[in-house]
Amino acid sequence: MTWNKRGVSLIYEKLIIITLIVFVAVTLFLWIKNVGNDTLYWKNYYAKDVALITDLLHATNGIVNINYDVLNSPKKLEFLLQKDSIAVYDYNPNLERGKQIPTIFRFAKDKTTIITTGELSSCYFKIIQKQNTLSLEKDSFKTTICPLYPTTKKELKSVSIYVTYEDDEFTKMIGEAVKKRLETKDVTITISKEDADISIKISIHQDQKNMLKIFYPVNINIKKSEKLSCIMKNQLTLKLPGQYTSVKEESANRYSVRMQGLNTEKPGVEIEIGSQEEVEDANALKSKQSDIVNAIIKGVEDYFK
Amino acid sequence: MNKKADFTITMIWKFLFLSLALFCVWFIKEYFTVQNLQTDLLETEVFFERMLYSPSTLSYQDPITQRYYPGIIDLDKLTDENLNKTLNYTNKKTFSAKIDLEKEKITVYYHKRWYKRLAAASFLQNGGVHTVKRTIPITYEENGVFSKGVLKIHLIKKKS
Repeated sequence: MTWNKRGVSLIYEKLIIITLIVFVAVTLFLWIKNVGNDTLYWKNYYAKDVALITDLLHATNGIVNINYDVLNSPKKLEFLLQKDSIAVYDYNPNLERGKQIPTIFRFAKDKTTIITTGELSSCYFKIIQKQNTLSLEKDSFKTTICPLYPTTKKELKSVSIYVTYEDDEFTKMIGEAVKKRLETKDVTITISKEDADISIKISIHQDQKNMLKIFYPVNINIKKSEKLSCIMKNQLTLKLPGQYTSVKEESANRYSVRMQGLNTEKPGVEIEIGSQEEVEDANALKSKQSDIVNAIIKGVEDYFK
Repeated sequence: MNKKADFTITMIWKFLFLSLALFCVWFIKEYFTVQNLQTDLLETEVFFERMLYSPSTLSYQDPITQRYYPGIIDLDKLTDENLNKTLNYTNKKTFSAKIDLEKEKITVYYHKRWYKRLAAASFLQNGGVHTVKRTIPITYEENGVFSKGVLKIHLIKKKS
């Protein structure tokens, strides 16, 4: 077969244009994906915010405590209070501080104020100004106000709940205890998740010991799931005070692996508790399990109240 | 027009169109993604608040009760040296200001060197700096006597 010259040049032209379009599309896609996962914006945001608050605190007279949380960032951040600035780093325990590039924002020093410099790795902290000293201190999660709507009021006698857990000794004990305690309150524990009014899944994550994660499915009942998630978060925080320096609530695709085990058509939550490997004392572990069980039971009661 | 010239003009149009399409893509990308925060105005507000209300900067302190009075200016504190020490930014170019208390004919500067340089520069209003002029009615104290006056502040801030 023979090609004429014009035909070949047209093919080349089209190939160049297609290559360019593919190149631009891929670059744009990668760039947007990178921006979505990147913490640069949030580092900039929090560095400026904390530094400007610190600046303003110099103009106050007396003792001031500001409770601050860093929950918007897609990844955990670390703060470093320096003599004249705030530096924000990505949380990365495997990388030396010197090898990381922080986002820094300055504030004005004052000849009378002493800055207690130091590092901080927590989603909740306090900015404290007292007696001419300024410092950042780690804080634990405080409860939030949960939405009252939609109404989920129901007699516990007419409620059926599906409880599931990971194949792990710790979560198994919690799951079984939750089932037993709910039965004593006349709640029906169903074997089939399709029959349940709500479903609860208990699991463990390995990320951080002091992190609590709660996931709920995206479906027509998402508002109810959000309410359940908020109540559970508050109860777990109240029953285990000071335990959680980081709490995450997230919606998850109902067809995702994470949501397997839950009735994804009805309200439900997956409660992920930080790994308990570091708790060696058997009594401490038992007491912790008991606190988690109490929190879940109280959460269920509050949800149907 | 010969065939070659015709082909070249077609190609030029095609590449112009491609450039326009790429520019649109770039514009959408820039418009819909925010990576930096503009906080210049907020920073100037924080600066004013701190200058006027910080106990160590200008606020008057009662010598007997040790209580500070935000909004009352202590004239002994209204000096270049005190301002530079109590509003001590590591980067001296960030803020500079001229403060006038006309009634007492007092003029003090914050980072005087930079103020004079930037104020004299021709790009002052639309270049790399923000300028804010503010007139603030105040009460000031001098030798135990309280008087009313007007503080005129001309602040120059380097854009961040």
